[in-house]
Amino acid sequence: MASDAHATETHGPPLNPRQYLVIGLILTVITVVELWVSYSSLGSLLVPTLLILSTVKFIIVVALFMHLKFESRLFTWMFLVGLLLASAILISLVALFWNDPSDALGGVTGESSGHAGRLLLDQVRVL
Amino acid sequence: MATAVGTLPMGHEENSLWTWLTTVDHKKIGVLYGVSGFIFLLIGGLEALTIRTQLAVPNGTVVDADLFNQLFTMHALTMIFLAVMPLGASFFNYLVPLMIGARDVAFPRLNALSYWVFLSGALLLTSSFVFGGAPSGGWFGYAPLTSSEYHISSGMDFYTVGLAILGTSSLMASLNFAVTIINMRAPGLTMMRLPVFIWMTIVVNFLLILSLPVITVALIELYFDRNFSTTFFSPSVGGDPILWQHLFWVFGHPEVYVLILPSMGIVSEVLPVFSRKPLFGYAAVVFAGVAIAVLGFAVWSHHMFTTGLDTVPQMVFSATTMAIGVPTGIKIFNWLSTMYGGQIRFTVAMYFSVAFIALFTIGGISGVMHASPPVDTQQQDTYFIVAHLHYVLFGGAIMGIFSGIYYWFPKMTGRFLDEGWGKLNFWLLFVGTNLTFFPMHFLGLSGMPRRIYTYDSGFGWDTWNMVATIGSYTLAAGFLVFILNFFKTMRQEPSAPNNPWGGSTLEWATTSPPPEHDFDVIPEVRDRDPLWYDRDHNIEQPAAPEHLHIHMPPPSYFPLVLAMGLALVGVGALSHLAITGLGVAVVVYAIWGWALEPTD
Amino acid sequence: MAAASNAAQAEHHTSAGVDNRMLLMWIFLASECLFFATLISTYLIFQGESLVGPLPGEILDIPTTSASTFVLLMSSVTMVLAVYGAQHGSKLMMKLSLLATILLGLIFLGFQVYEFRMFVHEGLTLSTNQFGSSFFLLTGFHGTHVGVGVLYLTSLLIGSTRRNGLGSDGGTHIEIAGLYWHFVDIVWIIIFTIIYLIPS
Repeated sequence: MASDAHATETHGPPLNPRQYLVIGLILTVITVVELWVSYSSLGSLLVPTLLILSTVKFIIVVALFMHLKFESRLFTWMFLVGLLLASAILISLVALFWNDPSDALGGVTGESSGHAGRLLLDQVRVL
Repeated sequence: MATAVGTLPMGHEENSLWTWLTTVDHKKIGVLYGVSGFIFLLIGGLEALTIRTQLAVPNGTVVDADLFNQLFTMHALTMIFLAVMPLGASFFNYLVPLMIGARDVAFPRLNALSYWVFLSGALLLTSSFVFGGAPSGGWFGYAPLTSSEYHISSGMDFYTVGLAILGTSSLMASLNFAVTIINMRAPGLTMMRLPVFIWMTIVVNFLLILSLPVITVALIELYFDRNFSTTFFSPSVGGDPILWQHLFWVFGHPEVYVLILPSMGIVSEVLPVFSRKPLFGYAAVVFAGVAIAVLGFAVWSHHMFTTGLDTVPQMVFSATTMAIGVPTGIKIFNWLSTMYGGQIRFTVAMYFSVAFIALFTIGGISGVMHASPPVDTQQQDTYFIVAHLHYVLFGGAIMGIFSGIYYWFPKMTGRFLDEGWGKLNFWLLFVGTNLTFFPMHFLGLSGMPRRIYTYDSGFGWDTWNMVATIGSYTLAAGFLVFILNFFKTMRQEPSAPNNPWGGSTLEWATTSPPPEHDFDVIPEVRDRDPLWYDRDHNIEQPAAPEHLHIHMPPPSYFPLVLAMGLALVGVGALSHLAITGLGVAVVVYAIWGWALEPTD
Repeated sequence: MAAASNAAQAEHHTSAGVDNRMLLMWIFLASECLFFATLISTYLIFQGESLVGPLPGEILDIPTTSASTFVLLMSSVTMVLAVYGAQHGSKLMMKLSLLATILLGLIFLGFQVYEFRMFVHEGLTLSTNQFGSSFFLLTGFHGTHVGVGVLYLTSLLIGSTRRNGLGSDGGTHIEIAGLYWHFVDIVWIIIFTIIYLIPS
């Protein structure tokens, strides 16, 4: 591992401008789809679909725009450590605060303000 | 300006104030951290002595309740953030490049910056005593006691702003060391040949990198609650105080591993040298350190067993907390096995490391007790916890730090701390630790709560409190002996050879103290204990070439200026936002100057 | 001079075969994941817990925010083109793309300012309720990150006109800035989904 590795040569970028523009177009299309989905009446499929679509956008930007796919694996590990821990803590915290609807600490809101936390967890339970 | 330092004779380094203010040399920065950390250790100690004097007898009249609250709050904040962490940073700074065969860290100016930002944060936090009162809501700052409704003095704002600044300093330093250790090792130095101290360093770096952001957000939310009437933590406006506790402890628990792992690293270096045996079970010790860090993120709610958590979280956090005893135990057994069968040399450094094992184990045993929620229900917020935390932090972290000081003192200064005085220092601290903190187990079990400024007679607490106070004065005497030893030693002429203790790691392959460029020739590493391997295989160090043409980064004042800008940002947050604006301008100016100044 | 030292840095031995500064930025971004995850957690925990209105459903303007999302997304495209230009020695492409990224970033910030002012006008401030506090804190700090990014890129752009150091190191400086910029974009992707799309 500590072999005499030289710093990565200033390599040419792995993608060319035309490809970047195409990726930009794909991202735009996905965003439009997300919008459409959010206005549609998909019911309980809404949240997973939106999460999957944003995850796809996320991965595209990280892997292709940030070049993670083409660079040293070390960068991927560094970023994944942060990302995975962040996700784990987020899920744990939301789970710790998930209240059932009969909880006294509730707002005026009741249902319609969209309890994304609750919705996300409901989806996880269904899956 | 190029500095062909190799051609300068050693010991001709400038020592002016300006040199120190603009240095980017990791060794000088290590000294800055060490001296500052030690001074704050003494300040924290004075805070403790005052507390113990107040509690020596029932109905004490040394301080009133409000000042007492400030004292125990600041004692913890000082010890954790201004003493133990900087002392750890001092060792990281001095030793990391030397132990990995590098000439400095990856980003020398960033390194200097992290020190100056630390100093600003430390001064800002401590200055709260004279600006309307120090924070008094405990170091863990539980809401809603910390809200503007209940904590009227601005001390809590010094807390949020001060800790945020300190957090920035630690984050910068951690990023720097992580990159350095990953990317700047000498040829042949694979990760699994790294000294255990370096492994513990990089683990600590990642603990900080990943946990500091969480408390930063919590501090921001508290600051906004107090100053902009947001609704995060105050129940009266729909906030949730338990949210503060979770966010605080998601950081707070990894933080305690930040406090102990450097000392565990030090002990792992000292024991083999003075047992004249390589460390037993290197891989296990390394993996145990990593396991402690990973698990350390999964235990935080064990600080919250009495807050009404649901059964499932209680079970989960209890299980993970008990699990974390396993890697810790692995380390203890490996240290013992290192000594077993070795030819022990009882130097003062060795005394401290051996004491670490015993005292930390005691602290660990009480810790495992708290891991059980029903048991913790009795122990929480009593002196039983105070006993636990001081055994691991004083008996553990501080003893480890002293071991490191005695061990590396010749390397850093070329002089040996007197062994006779050192043994007196040791025994005073060892006896003092046990006298002060062991009785607290009894006090806690017989019901004495934490953070009470006085107590009535008749609870059965009088005797043990008096014993604990006597113990604390014993500790003070121990520190005094050390200080006297230090000054006496510094009056000697430097005379230490490269490797006075017969160590195996790379820092002992250069002079004591090292030249500015650390190594005349970067060593090549063939084994986990490079110097022992080379000695056993009769491998000579390559001779230094006639003219060393080594380029070291030049000094810079921009880190100092940037830190002052950040300090202004903080001061503005405590007074007028116009000052924050000025601070931002200074920061931007400093960043520009930094980016544009030549580095060769 | 900077070119010489950058070239020197690129050539000297490294144990993991990566550039120190790139590694620094990637680890820093790992840290930033935790920062934003905590802000998002706060937002999710308080979702539905506001004692008074205005509530998200009443006040969030999805069409406008979709436009600003699109703007930020496009700024990522221009950013990656700036990196391409820097790495291919095409200084004109680098500078124009940097400028475009900066302008798109400013437009995004403009949208944010507009949205914030609209909300305040409709009675939602930092201190109104749980939604106000957590929403403004999360999007405010994201906006701050965009602002810092704009300053960062502007400094690089100015730097590239002043001396021939910048951009001729193989574009590493620009690439590192790009990492930061894309990260800020993907945080917005998450925020947009969680705050705007899911509850609607």
